[in-house]
Amino acid sequence: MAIHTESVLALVFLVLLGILGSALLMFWWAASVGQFENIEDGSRAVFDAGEPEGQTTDSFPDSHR
Amino acid sequence: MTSASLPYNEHHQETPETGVRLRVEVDRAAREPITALFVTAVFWLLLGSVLALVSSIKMHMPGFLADAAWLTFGRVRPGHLDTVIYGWASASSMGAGLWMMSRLCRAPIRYRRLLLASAALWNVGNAIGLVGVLAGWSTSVEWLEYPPLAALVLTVAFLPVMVEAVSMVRRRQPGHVYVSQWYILAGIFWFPWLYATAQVLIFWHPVSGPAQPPVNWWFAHNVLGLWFTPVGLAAAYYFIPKIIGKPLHSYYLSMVGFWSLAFFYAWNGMHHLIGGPFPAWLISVSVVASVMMFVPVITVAVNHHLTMRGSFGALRWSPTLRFVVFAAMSYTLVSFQGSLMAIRSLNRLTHFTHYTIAHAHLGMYAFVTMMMFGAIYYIVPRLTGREWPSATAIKAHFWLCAIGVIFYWLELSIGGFLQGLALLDEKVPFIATVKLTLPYLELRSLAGCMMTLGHFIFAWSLWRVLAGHTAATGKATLLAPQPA
Repeated sequence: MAIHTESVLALVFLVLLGILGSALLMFWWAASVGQFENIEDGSRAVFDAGEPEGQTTDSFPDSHR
Repeated sequence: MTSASLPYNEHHQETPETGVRLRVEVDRAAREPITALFVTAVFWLLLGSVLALVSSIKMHMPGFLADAAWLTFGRVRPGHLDTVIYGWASASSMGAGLWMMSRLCRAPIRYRRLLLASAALWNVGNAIGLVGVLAGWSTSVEWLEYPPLAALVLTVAFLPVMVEAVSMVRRRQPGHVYVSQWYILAGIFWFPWLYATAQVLIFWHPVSGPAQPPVNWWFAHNVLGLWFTPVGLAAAYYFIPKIIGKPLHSYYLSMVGFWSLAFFYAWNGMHHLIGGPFPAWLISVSVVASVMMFVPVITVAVNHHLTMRGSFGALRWSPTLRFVVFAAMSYTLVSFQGSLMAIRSLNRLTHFTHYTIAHAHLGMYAFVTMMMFGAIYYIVPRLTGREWPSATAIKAHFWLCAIGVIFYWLELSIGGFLQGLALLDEKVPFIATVKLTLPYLELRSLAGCMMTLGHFIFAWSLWRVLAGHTAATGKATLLAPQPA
């Protein structure tokens, strides 16, 4: 039982390492395509020309009737 | 694409007109599948809330609805847990996640019918699961109580969500992948991985008995940290800057938060087994990982707070922001509390008490559920082109749920703490430890009534919008610009 349990726990850790592996893969891709360059520029990705920075986009329904 | 050629400003060639046109296109493509996910999620929320109330009342009135087997505590309580986890929180997370991804990728949903089928199948899975649990076929494995057949249906139903997310990422406009996109993409892959792994190792190809609790708690803890947390934080990172019109205080910090979550969180879960018959190293790894979670949590909290600094007045006029900021603050609180609860000395006191239940509701309700409420308040008018019916209803919903969950957490934490002290005192008879919790359990039912009332108000508002009983905005966004 002990040996079997240990092998199963090892399997769980393999699965866990699979999650870490996917994270490492994403990290490698991000670094290789320059996602970490000019990093602060990424913060403006939520805005566009129609809803630019400085424009608010939500209010209670009665407040503009 | 090299770093030198990576254009940040992928939208610099947009004009206001093309920007609006693209948003309209994105929202139109998302309308049916995302609305279907939200509507059915709210249905399960209402059902799950009623089951929660029944369970809660039974804790201090054991004779309540005790004559029917399907309404006994052992069935109703897991029925509540699984319907709110899979029916409500997961479906709303799928809807909000896909919508945010579509907006951020500037890529309309491509497989609308497939997603509609996915939403339908997701509900079939939940229906099979709930009927199974109430019929007495629960697996009795916490967070995985649905019968394996339901789990199989849910797993299949989730696959189109993954396909659509990958499709949107592949079609995204060039430039930086925003932090919300990272979180959503990661969560959409981690969740089925966790779920399928737990199902296989516990039910389909069961591992030996002693190995099942580690698998169970690895899943139960990580489904919160690697599925609900990523989508919840993605929503906070999207809606806070979007609503107040200010970029994140530090994009660098947001990246530190995401990658530290990605690398640290999967080690969590085994601290639920402190005191159990497991190797000490196994549990110690999770205790250390839990404490390391201070890194992503502090970066997220600091970033959100500094982004909001100077804009807290927006809480007066933005319904979404109220829910989102409340949820983000709850995330900080529940994460700090969770890290401390993983430490052996405190865990010895809180384990097997109502303190843990209070903590779970701070995470799944005050953080995840309130975040999804905020997201739905923002998204639905843009999908339907219709306004919410009443500001009063939104405010009532917010205050009932916010006060309800704070009250729930506070009073049940106190009750659980006292229960833990009593359980550790060998001079106190066990029945006395049960009786001392009664007032706190009664107060919990009261808090549950408040939250459930809030949910029905929310459902009423949603029904009014979908039935076309509210004002049509006729625009991609219904909102008049407010001063920043």
